[in-house]
Amino acid sequence: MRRRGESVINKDPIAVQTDGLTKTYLAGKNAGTVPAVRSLSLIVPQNAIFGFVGPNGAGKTTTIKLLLGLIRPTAGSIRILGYDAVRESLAIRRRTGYLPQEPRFYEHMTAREILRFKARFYFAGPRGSIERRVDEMLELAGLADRADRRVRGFSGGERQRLGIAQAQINDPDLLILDEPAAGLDPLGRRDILEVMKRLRARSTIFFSTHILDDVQQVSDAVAILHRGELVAQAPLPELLAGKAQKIYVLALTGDARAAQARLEQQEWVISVHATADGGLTRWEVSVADDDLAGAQLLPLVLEDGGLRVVEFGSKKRRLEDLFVELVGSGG
Amino acid sequence: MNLSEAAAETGRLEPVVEPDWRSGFANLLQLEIRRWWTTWRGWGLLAAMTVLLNGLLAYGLWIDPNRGSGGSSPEFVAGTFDVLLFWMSILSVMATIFLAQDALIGEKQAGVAAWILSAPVARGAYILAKFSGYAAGLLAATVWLPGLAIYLQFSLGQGRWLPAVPFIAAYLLQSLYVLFYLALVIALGAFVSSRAAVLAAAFAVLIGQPFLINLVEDAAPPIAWALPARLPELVRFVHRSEPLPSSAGIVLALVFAAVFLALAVWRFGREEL
Repeated sequence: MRRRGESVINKDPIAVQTDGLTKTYLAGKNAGTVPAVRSLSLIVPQNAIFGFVGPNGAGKTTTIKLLLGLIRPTAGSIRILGYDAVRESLAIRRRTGYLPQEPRFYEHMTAREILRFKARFYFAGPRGSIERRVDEMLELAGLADRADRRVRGFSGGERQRLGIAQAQINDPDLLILDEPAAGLDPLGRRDILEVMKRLRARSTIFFSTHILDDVQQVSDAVAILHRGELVAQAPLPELLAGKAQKIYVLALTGDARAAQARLEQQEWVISVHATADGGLTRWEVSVADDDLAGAQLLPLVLEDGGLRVVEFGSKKRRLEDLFVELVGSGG
Repeated sequence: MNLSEAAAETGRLEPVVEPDWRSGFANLLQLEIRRWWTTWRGWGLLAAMTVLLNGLLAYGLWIDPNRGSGGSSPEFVAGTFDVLLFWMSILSVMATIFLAQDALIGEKQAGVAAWILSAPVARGAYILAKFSGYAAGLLAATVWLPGLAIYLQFSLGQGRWLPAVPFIAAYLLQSLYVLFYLALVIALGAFVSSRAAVLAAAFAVLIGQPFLINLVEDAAPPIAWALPARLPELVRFVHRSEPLPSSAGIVLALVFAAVFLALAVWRFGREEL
């Protein structure tokens, strides 16, 4: 039997580590097995906001359920906060908060009763402190004015807010959020991201989402899952920096064919992708050597004299671009 | 409240200390018991059982023109009580099957079970809390409180306090009958995900036993008396303070209930939520 205080003893710099994690399901009689998660190896450092991204059916929710011990792995291992997720699941759940993808609660209870009920799995008393904790969570989730309404009448967004409040009731060391912004309006989404940023100081946040803008706004590190397999995992800046190549974007007026041919002959130019846009020609120039490109790109383009450059800059890589690149091509 | 104040507040909270095997049990049991009496379920069932059984008794005691002058004889009391216990056994088991069939399946399908088990709740504790909560609610609403009303009305009808022990003994046996079916339905709910399958299997056990008894009664009477379906008949002997033809039915009902619960805990421990 382990208790909260043991977190000090069991302090591990890694919050979540999976190694070769695999989950397969039986597809039916004589249909073999279907892999939901394949040999997944993740490392989530303590006090990070870790974005877990992937298209529908990629295996995100399955992975989260594996972390929480709600389902058992077919192969591989999981360590969370220094504990083995299969053998020491209770110890993990004492220090974890979880928001399900579609939060479901007892419909006959009020928001306050739900939070009080959840708090009593972690805290024996004193009653006044538990009530203050419940009030604090209601306030944090923006539900203070609906605290004594039955959950039966809650909208999707209110359920989501209640889900976020109950996930934090035990002041968890690890907060696992499955699609936390789903069902929320833009203000609700902003609030959730603010809460996540505030909690980073004392918790690790592992969240799955489809909303790549949210991931880019708050995440320290990102993992991209596709068809149960990890296709990328790195700190966000590293992931966005990508390979050595850099892309310059130019908009030109005039006949750009000769200048394009000149550029394509340069060793430091990887490719020139040209598109027509009204009277403009737009180029995306991928380069292997940024120093040479900085010194030579514009002089080479302007050599003819007949061309005018109306826009020039380097293309910032967005997570969405990377996501499409990694996942979209795979179909 | 800022973050450091919140952390200080959390530090004042006393952690729950309980063995891992029953982690979460007390909180879940409290919830289950409250659910019985803060929703229509407990009060509705109690009202229905009390009105039906006591209405039947009231007819026999106060209205029936054929009750004659033997209305206060011990035979009249025992015979009327037999009828009431017969109806109590049928109604309480029906209520048990219909209400408990959804106890696990409903929460598994709605995702509530997954939410609860994401907290530090042992799966065995979840099953035992369900069983205990339903047992407390069902026994109170279908056996003990209507039974108390029966005892009070009987005493009123007789103009004296009747001996309580035969009533208590009969209700204890009746309770075992309910617990047997409750454990069966909980176990079925742990193994299958279809309410219809749970209902079908529970009713097959309920209806199948009398057929089995008919088949083996002459050839092997001990087997016939060992079946839990015989419990309502044993109740007759108990409240009349007559020797039991066999106590195997009582022992086997206890053993079966324990086995069903153990199976439910084992299966739910492997459930993918």
